[in-house]
Amino acid sequence: MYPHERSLVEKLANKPFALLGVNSDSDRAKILEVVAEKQLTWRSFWNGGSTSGPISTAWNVSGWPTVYLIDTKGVIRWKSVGVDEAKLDAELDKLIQEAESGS
Amino acid sequence: MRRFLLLALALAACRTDQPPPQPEPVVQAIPVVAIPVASPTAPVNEAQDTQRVAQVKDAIKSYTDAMNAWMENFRALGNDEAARKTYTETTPRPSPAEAVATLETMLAANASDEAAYQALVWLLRTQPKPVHVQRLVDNFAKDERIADQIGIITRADPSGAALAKVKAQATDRKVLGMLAWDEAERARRELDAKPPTKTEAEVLALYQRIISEYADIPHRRRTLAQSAEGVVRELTVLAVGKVAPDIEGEDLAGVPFKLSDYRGKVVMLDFWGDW
Repeated sequence: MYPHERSLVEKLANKPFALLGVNSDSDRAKILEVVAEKQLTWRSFWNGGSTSGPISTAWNVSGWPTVYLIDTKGVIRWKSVGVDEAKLDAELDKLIQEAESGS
Repeated sequence: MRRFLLLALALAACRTDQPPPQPEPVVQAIPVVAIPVASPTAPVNEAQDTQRVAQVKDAIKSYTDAMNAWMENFRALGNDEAARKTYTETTPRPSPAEAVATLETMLAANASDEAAYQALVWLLRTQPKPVHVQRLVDNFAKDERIADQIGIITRADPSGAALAKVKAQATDRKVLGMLAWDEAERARRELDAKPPTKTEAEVLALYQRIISEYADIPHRRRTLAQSAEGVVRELTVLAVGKVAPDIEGEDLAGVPFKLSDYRGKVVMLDFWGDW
């Protein structure tokens, strides 16, 4: 999914959009290397080094990746366990348009 | 969804109640028909039983060792997609066929001893067949360890007949709790049916019952109450249309930040891992 995420970040660079991760890897040094190597420019929360860390537990995440889309008002608008990139793009476009039209 | 699959592999590897790395078995809908299963019962002989248990363990181990070695080589390729592809194409995954054949022969001799239990549990996760589900419920429905097999029984026999047998004989609280969890999880999946065949209130009531009656039963390294509360939270405060709960944490470099710092932007929140 990295290539798709990178392309979203590039495509939406001038839009009211932010990609945020919640990373559940166990080795922090190693994941920082991956981030540098793969040019993952977006910010991620550290989930305490475990898939059962505090954030994924609070959000009851049990499948990876799980993606939530949240609108400009902070309202959850879409969620998916496993990601269909075409569907994700369509939902995202809808929300960005909505944000830009100020509704 | 390669990352998704890999996590399934990784999780299967670290769960103690499962055989080592293998994808969640693809379980076909297997109709359980009422074929009487021959369960020849050998006279109880402790030495023989110990020997049979060791045989089962050996058969499983030779397969899992081969599988672990295969996975280790696969993981060593890191994120190199091309190398991974070449590897999977040129080095086939080890086949469980030999282990399966050994265990099936052993089950034909005795389907009700401890060796049979261990063989059935492994077979149901590796190559589920109606006959294994039937043998398990016919011989071990009253064994409290059946609590850990509820999910696999449901998946291997969607008709519900095998599960009904367990339910009819269940008295152990852990078994009852896991049956309640299984019922709630199946009802939750019904919410996604089009049109939904269950209402959200009905589903929530099933989880609430778990919280009030089976709170302390161990479940996925936590308790049934914690698991059920997680689902209730997901269906209520984390539902589409609700304001997302804030997240306060730190980024990978250790700098504190909050989800709400990004209010005013469309946020894609991605729970990920590099596995």
